Amino acid sequence: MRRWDRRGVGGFTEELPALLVVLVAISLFIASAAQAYASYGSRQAAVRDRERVESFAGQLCSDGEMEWQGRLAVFDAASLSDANASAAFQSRYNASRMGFEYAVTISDLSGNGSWVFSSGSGYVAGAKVRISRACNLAEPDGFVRPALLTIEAWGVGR
Amino acid sequence: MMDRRGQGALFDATAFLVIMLVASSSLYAYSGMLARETSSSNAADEMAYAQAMLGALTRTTVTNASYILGGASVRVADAPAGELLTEELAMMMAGASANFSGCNDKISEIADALADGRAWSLECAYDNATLGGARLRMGSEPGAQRFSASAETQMAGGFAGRAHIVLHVWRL
Repeated sequence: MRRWDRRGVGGFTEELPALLVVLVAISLFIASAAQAYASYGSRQAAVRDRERVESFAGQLCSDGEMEWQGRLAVFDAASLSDANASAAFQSRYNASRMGFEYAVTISDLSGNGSWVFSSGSGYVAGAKVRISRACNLAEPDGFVRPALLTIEAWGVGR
Repeated sequence: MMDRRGQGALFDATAFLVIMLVASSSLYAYSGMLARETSSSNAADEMAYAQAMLGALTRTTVTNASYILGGASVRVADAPAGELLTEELAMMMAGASANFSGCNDKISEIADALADGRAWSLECAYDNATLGGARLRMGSEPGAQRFSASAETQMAGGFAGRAHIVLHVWRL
């Protein structure tokens, strides 16, 4: 039986290319759909992780042990310099209770050093979430200096 | 098929491919948009930063600031930047032709440090229905995509009402 003549092509000779074109089209669509789904999932996870770290920053800015005269985002320089400040910080913000590891740095932008509070184990692996917030450091006499609160967190999404 | 229509199945398959290409392109563009939104600095984060920076800037004590009035340098007592800004506005409202660049440079230094690599622009304004208004601005020309925070504070110099302070920040 002839599969082609001057009027056209028929049967298997025509259907195989058509099938190939359809397969290519379906493959392209499935690949795009899979990529979009993966992007959506990773974005949702990134937003969730970031929200948790931002919530942590909010807790720090209103931490009664560190803030100066109850003022939001104004840290008491004397409290931060206390010998027990690091241990007390770790106890209040225990990594296992928080659900992630962290390194918190409060930098005095006047060039008078910085204070680092970490969850203890240090960075090992995994994606880091980093956020920073402008804040202040206050001396006991009420002198207020500019400062930067930086939080690096990892293992957030586990 | 062997009729006068010829290669009908191949035509249908090509039409299907075109439709699938359009659908795939849409999905690809959507995933690209999601990836851009996931970048480390999203809009909500920058807005929060602008608000925190405005608060920190207005609270910071400015030291050794001075302005020039009538050719003489006048030393300003150490005070929060927010208070200095309203005092500048009050002097402008009172008609004093002073040069505040000394004070403004000090405030700009603090803002530069707090901006953490961002560009910024600060605008302060006071409006009074009968006495008119005063305005001052410092920092860069605001960028097209900027994030703003505003605050109101009690006007200095015995003027009634409140002064309005707006801070814009943006990534370079």
